[in-house]
Amino acid sequence: MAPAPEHDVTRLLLRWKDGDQAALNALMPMVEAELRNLASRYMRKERTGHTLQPTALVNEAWMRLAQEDDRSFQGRSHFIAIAAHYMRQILVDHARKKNAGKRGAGAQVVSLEDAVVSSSQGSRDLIALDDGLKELARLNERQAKIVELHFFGGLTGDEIADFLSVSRNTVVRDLRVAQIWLKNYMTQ
Amino acid sequence: MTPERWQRINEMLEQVETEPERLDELCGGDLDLREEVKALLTTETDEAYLHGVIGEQAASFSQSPAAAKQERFGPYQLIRRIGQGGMGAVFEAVRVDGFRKKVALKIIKQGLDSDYARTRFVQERQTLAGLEHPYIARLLDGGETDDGSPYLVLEFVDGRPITEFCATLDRAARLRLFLKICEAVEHAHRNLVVHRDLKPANILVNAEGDPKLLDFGIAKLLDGGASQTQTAFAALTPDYASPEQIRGEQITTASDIYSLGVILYQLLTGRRPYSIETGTPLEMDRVICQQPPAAPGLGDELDHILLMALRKEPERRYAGVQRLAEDIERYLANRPVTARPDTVRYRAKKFVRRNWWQIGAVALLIASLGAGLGLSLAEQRRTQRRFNEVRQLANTFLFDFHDEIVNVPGTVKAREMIVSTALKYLNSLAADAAGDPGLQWEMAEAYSKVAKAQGSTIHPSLRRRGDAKISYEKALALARPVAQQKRLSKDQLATFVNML
Repeated sequence: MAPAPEHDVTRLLLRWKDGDQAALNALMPMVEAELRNLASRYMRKERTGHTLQPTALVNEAWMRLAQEDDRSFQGRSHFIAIAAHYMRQILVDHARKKNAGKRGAGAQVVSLEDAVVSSSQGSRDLIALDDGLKELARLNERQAKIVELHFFGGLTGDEIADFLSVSRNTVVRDLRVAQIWLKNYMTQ
Repeated sequence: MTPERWQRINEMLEQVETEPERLDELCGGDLDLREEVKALLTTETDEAYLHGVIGEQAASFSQSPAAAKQERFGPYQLIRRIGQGGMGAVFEAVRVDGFRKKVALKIIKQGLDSDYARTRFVQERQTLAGLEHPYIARLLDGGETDDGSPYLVLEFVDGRPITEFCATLDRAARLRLFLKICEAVEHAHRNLVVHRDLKPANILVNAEGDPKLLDFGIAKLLDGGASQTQTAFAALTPDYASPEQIRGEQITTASDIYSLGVILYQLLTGRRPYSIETGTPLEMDRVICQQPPAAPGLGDELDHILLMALRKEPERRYAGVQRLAEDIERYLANRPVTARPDTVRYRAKKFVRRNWWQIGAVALLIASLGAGLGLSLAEQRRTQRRFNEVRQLANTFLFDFHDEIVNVPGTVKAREMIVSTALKYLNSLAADAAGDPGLQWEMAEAYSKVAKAQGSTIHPSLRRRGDAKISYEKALALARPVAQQKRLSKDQLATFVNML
């Protein structure tokens, strides 16, 4: 049995699982705020020698908000599902803004530091990934979801299988096929 | 592509994996299908691909203003990053509790890892916050984030680096601007604050032509009270560092005067007095601690002023910023300056350095003597006279020469040898010292010199603090009983006190 929920997030998650939509709405901003906060902490700690892993960010967001370990397994996966989706959204928005700015469309105020950082190709790649995922979702929703959970959320094959109530084999297969399809889509 | 078609392709991919020859059969003549499946079959990918795409954007995102917007430090909200220095990032920030004041927020990279460090940080901040001068950027506030990173809130300065600002000024105007800077530094010195890191990047000039000195005393703030560490050294800007800074010795107001000298040199000539190429400790030692600065070529008086500020020995520079300022004022008023060129005494010292190779050869000779010494000391003890001779010789050459060549280039190996030989010699002698206070005393002195040699330089090869400590302790152990017996001359007493 899951322990009595003490923290906001866990309580909200449970309520959402029980069908309380309002709980989900309340949860969203907390997740997003936490993710943004974490991202800027990474910036401060200057871990930009090696690439920042959003999956680590998402995991840390969970630990901070829920302040629980893996006891409430279901709770965590649910949280990660939301966070991963947000993570993707945050990054894609950022990539689109950058790309728009570079083409000169829109009055984007860019600081000196901004310009230095990413290649335009990188932004375009992520935008292509996002478009690809949307297209994949149209073709097979589960496969797109699995990619999001794994690459933006950092969930393992087992965790995803449990969360989606499918076999591990299914997850592994789906993941492989999805990656092949996405790469094909992105490199065209 | 429809979901159904995609489903079919999925199934086919699985089948073709185990039975590749059935590809055509499974496609059933649908050439488009075959193309699609083929394309997918030949696509090679691994997880690193998508992780990379995502990771790169995440890195970019985390450096963008969007990410910064969410950061709050006490009552300050970050607006954007305006710089990145050796000690951390600097942001433009604004107070959000009603005052709407624009500030510069500096996040310090290294955390405060002990209560002691924390207390010191707060104390130093107090001192620096008390520095009030129109030409010094005020330290307004400071604090610590919950993950232990300290931050400082400084007056936001809108200006250009002094080198840029001076580009369009004539010499007299540059000098007058420099005098304002001297005013600021002097104010700080009177309040017992040394800047420690003066350089053009730390001096901005606003539109009105007033300079603002940044980062006053912050280098010390971060030092945490420890003596110059390897990390702190690495963060040093070698171009403006004083010889004592390079050597890890005491930083004083004289060090600021030296840096001012380098800055003025650059402002007047457009060059720096030294050029550091590789930035290795050895090169820095050679160039900054040895090499005379390139002649400024501005005429006798200005040259003398600059060279006086740039003297290698702190005590031979201007006694205070005020003296430097006065000489500049004299120059501007066409009165004779007080700065003078090098003296004979100084040139004599240089002789030693120029002929170091000869001295080095002698040192090597002694070192090999010393090697032989350790082995046959027992034998030599039998002939006391010889023992005394060798002892005297070793003391003179091993230690006096070490001091002479300590700053000479290329002698690291020789010095190392001298130090290790000296130790071997001393250790073997120690056994024989019991009962002979005079000898004990001599040895105590010798050990303390070795300790100094072991701990003094910036070169990693000779930096053995632990060993230095041991040598010092040996020195003290030998000296105490002798001191207690009170058979001390005045000189000996002074040495003893020094060692403590």
